[in-house]
Amino acid sequence: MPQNKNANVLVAAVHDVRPFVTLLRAVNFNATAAIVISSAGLTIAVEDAKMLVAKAYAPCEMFDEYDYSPRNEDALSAEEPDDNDEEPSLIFHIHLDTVLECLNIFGTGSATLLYGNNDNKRRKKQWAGLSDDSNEEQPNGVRKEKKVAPPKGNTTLDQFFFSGEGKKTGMRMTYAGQGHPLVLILGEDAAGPITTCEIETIEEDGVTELAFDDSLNSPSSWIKQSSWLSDSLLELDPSCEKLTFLGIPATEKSKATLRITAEGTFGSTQMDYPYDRDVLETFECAQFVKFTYRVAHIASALKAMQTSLKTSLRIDPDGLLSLQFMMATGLGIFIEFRCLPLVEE
Amino acid sequence: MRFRALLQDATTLYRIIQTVERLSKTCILRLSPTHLRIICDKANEGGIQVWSLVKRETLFEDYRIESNANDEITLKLSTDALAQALKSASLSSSPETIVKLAKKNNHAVLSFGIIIKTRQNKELAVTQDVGIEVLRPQDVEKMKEPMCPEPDVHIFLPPLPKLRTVTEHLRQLSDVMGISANGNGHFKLFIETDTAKVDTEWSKCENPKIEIGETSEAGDVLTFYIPAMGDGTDG
Repeated sequence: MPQNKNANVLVAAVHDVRPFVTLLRAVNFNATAAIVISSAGLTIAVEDAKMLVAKAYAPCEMFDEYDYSPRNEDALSAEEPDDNDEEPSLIFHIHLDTVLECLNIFGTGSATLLYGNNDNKRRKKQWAGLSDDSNEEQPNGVRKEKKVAPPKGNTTLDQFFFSGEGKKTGMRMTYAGQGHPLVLILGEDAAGPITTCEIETIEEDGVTELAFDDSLNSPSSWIKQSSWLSDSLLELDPSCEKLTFLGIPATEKSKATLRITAEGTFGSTQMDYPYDRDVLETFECAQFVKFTYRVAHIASALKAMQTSLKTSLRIDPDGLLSLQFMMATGLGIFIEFRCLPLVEE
Repeated sequence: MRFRALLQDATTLYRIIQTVERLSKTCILRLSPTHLRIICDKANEGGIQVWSLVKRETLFEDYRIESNANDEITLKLSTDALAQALKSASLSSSPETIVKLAKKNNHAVLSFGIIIKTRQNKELAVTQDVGIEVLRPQDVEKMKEPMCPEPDVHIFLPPLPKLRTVTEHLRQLSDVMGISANGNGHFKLFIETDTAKVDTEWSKCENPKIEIGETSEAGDVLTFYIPAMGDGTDG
């Protein structure tokens, strides 16, 4: 238990946890996550069998208050990610489900108002800019009252994440260093209840790094709307186990194309994204590439895909797939999934 | 042994039975000239007991009861069947639902005479019979409402929907939940597991001044007795 407030290595406060919850939800495909603290912000890293690494970046600008004051002994004992800057960073592992359950304890921490909900209809409606003012409905059918409050804080973020106004869960997160629990203090308003959560942190190895070879000739594209990719992935037959990405360079007859194919028990699926400004903002593909991935790995990224605006897709010469999801404009909030290809027989 | 009454407010009774239905498969109805008691005693799983006291006037009119045991009748019946009968009674267009004790094919039943109006404005008489078991007075004697020591603290709970939301989330984290309250308006729910310690504290709750026994005299109350797993002083 931190007795002295100055002993905290990290203090981060935010008036509305929903953007943060959205980030965490998007990478919640494995029980534990590594949280890397640096002065630039928090990185939440989740991996699956060293084949897939997802990182959600929560820059310090996302928080109303962010203070990281590393202590020397902690910074030394912590493993530093290779591709990071020189500044010391701190890593701990944590149960993501527990954190999410705590953040949503008042039922107003969940970003169900987000356009990228599982519910396709609602998503499309909100995408079209229609505010869906039906109250958030809990699984148990309890309707929660919503009060209209003037918009606070970062408007870009609010506009992106929410179409409705309502009660917000504010958070103050503190961490006192290795071996200490992560402390979350949550509240809705001054009059309401206060929740204090002490979530045990797990000491484990650092984060698997999948280094992306940024050399030339790697196909890269920006897909204008993430939903175009997520919708087509949702169309896939559940029996498909493998998914192939093909980068086809432009020929005299046809445009350069990004092609996704999948084979299942009942047939195969092929989806083409031609290099057309309306579909792909940019598409670079100098030579033909073809790599196959496990559908389960790509599916782990679906939630992030659905909650994001744009998707960047890159494949390096060794087949390492990098999917970057831009969550909101201009704030550096994004999620990256890196996935190793299956070795072709 | 006779019982016949007009059930005026089937909806309220239906709601009470719905609550009880979630806790127990059977419940006990104890009818007296002045009150109706709905009781779930220790027999149900989870050990939650419900003792409720509803004034006769709240639900019934034209109420007649006779028996050899101080004009009290105690019945044991299936909450599910009772809820079904009350559901159709609460849908009834007329408030004239007649409840009576009857004997059909040598089985004691609680019979609900319900009148339902059809779309064509015709009246249909529906009778719902709920099988019952009449308890003997000596068995009834043995049933005792749990004795609780005089409470240390009386406190009004925070708004129930909020309390429910918090509880639903805490339930995901732990099987056992702790509750604490004091005379200063503080009310706290907490859980403690290997992975997390979470507590939610309300301040500014009201501490009512209640004399002992006052609640049970008031009538129209449902009392839930939830067994505690310890007083939490060791943790």
